[in-house]
Amino acid sequence: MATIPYPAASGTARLSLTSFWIALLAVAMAPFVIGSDYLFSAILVPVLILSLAGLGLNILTGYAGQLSLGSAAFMAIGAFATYNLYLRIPGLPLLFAMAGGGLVAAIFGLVFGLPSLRVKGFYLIASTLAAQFLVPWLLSQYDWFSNDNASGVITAPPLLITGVSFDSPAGRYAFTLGVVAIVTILARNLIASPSGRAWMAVRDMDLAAAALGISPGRTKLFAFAVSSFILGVAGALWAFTYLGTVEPAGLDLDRSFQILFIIIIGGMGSLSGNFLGAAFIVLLPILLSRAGAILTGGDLGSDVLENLNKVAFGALIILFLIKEPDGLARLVGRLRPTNKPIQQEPN
Amino acid sequence: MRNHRPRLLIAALGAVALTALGGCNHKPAAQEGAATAAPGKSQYFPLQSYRVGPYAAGGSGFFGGFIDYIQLVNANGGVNGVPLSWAECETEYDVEKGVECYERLKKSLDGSPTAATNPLSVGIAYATLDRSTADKIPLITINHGRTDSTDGSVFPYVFPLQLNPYSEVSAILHYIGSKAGGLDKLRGKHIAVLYHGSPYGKETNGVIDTLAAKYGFIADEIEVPHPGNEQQSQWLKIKQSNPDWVILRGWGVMNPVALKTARKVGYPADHIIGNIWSNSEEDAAPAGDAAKGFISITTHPSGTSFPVLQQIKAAVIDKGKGNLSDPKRFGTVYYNLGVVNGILNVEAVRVAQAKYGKRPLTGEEVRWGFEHLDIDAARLKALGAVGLVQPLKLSCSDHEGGGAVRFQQWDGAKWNVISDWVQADRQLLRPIIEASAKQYAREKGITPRDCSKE
Repeated sequence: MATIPYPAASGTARLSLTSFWIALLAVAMAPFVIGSDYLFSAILVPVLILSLAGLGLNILTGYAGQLSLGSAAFMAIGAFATYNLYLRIPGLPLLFAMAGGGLVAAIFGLVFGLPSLRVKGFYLIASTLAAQFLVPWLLSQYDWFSNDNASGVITAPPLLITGVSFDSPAGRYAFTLGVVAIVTILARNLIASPSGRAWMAVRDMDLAAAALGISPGRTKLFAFAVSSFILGVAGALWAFTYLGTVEPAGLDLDRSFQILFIIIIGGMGSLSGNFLGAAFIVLLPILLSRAGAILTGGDLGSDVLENLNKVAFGALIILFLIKEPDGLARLVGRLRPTNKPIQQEPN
Repeated sequence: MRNHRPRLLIAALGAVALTALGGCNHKPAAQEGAATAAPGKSQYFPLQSYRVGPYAAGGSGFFGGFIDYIQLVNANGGVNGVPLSWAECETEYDVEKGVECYERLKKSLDGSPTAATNPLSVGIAYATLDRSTADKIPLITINHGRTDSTDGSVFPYVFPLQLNPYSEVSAILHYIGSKAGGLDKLRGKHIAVLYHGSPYGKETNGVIDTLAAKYGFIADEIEVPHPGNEQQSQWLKIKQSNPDWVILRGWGVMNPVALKTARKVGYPADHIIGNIWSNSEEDAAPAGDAAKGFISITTHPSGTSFPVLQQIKAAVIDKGKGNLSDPKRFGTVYYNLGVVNGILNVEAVRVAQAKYGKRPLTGEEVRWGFEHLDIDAARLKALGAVGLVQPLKLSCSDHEGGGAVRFQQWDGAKWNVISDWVQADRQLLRPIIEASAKQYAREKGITPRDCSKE
């Protein structure tokens, strides 16, 4: 494997690692300083879960170069599979059920990844879009998936690990943080491994990768499987630690777009970018709505305010992408002069 | 130079984010009402409202009526001298935003205790059900919600007041039966149910199948994906099978589109029965002529003649403090539902005050008030709400209370009530509700309360 080109990403992988640890530490410590239910359950848990979902899509799109609009479908599969595994296999620990849910999502990912062997780009988007429409339909069509719930909604069981309850806001946060951290570390190692380099080789030029002895097909399918596994785990967390319930329609195309925006804004092919992007997507609308309410002092109707927020949110995204098309991760990276490659001034 | 710009940008962003994080402990941006009360001395209502998006008509009407009623109570000196306050947060009917709003608003800005949450969204109610129970704040889902939350032994903090989805179906079937000459005449009838593709819409499918088997009619359940602005194929299917009745379980924009499409395929509007969320002026009027003859159920008629609405008009609207941006919507179905909801919330506070004392009460104490609501004809008269609210008696095992509806018909300009109260067969539904509640309790590891000891 030594002949595989080790692209520029080797540098960014290392940078991403440092920023990842910094981000992790900050995210882990901040709430215990500030500490409030609101921060835990309305901000941090969704940011962490969407970061994980962003990571899932980033592996597929940012590292392996395969476009997808089916992210939310794989989250839904993960959530419903975890629920059913936990419900129907007595005595199965919750964490194993989540891993199982991830595996089921990975299998579906493989299936929906098959078209990637033949088609690319926009055509591949169409195929993953099929997953996005098929899966919620399937889940709401057959009541078995939701254990015959009248509304087709699944209800998360109590969060118990070896008898310890995680059902408080801080507990749910700790649980989410633990799972997200473990999966992120595993993903980082995978990206730094030969498999990860194969993804990047296929992304940069699949013909050249093939000439180097990498099988593009197998590499793409592996990326689909890993990506879907992570999305599946993120979906299970979404249902179990964030909402406590999930409906198939809650993980719709809008959610897939949201995850895509997270990696575009955060940075393709970057680990820390997922966290930055998710924080941006979740926090900015909340900040805008609070700022708007304070600035206008409640003189404007909340409907006008909400529409203004949407305008401001869109404008800010455009501004960011113009200022830094490579995403927030790159922007943050530029702030640290020590991490910049040393450049010789031309004489 | 180039390097400074992103640094500035990031620094600014960081500053804003830090301010926000620091501000997270100070909850809502504005807490309204209760201007006369000292901090912490009002009864606080967090309002997860929605005034934009596809369901804005429902949200702005409902929360407008709710807020105006609260203002009326305050204008009359509050509940036994305790003023009411509220804060709003826009959910857009979106579950994640609703959860964020719940967490943001659940504690008041000035330390006043929280009475209850009223999200007016099945999805948000599902997502905040556990939180409400853990935080000990009643979750009110008037005329909607999880049907099995009627069983208060498993759901102590959830109240599908007046009419749960199963009662609604049962009442509609009774009406169809009476048109045919009795429930036994339902045998062989063909009823199509056009439902909104959401947990709310799906909720009754199971019970319709059960009742279809019991009464021997043929039920055809057809889904309309959210938000429902395209229904050509669904109505062509209905036209082909030509059912005797169509039950419209719509919401928001889906309703007028359904009526217009029905006209297009030639299905008569007077054989379409709208459910409790397909019964407003905003559902019928946009369909124009196509809505003429459309029947729907209602727990409360529209209109401004009720004394309580006249009081609101005198004390709130005429003083320029009304919450509606369009004053013409005063007295419409959604607005009046908001008033009804306000009456029931305030009555629960009043009942609880009789037990716990005339002071701002905790959510736990207000919960007791909801569970012991007993609104009879005399109380309705005192409230000026005869005909607007139905007599209601709640208990530990029954968090619904009423279960009666009236039918109304759209004449092209307004709703006319066309039936007396039609009561749901709640005895028949009770075992189904209990079975579902038991399954929920099993999944969640809840030990139900013993209601005989309450």
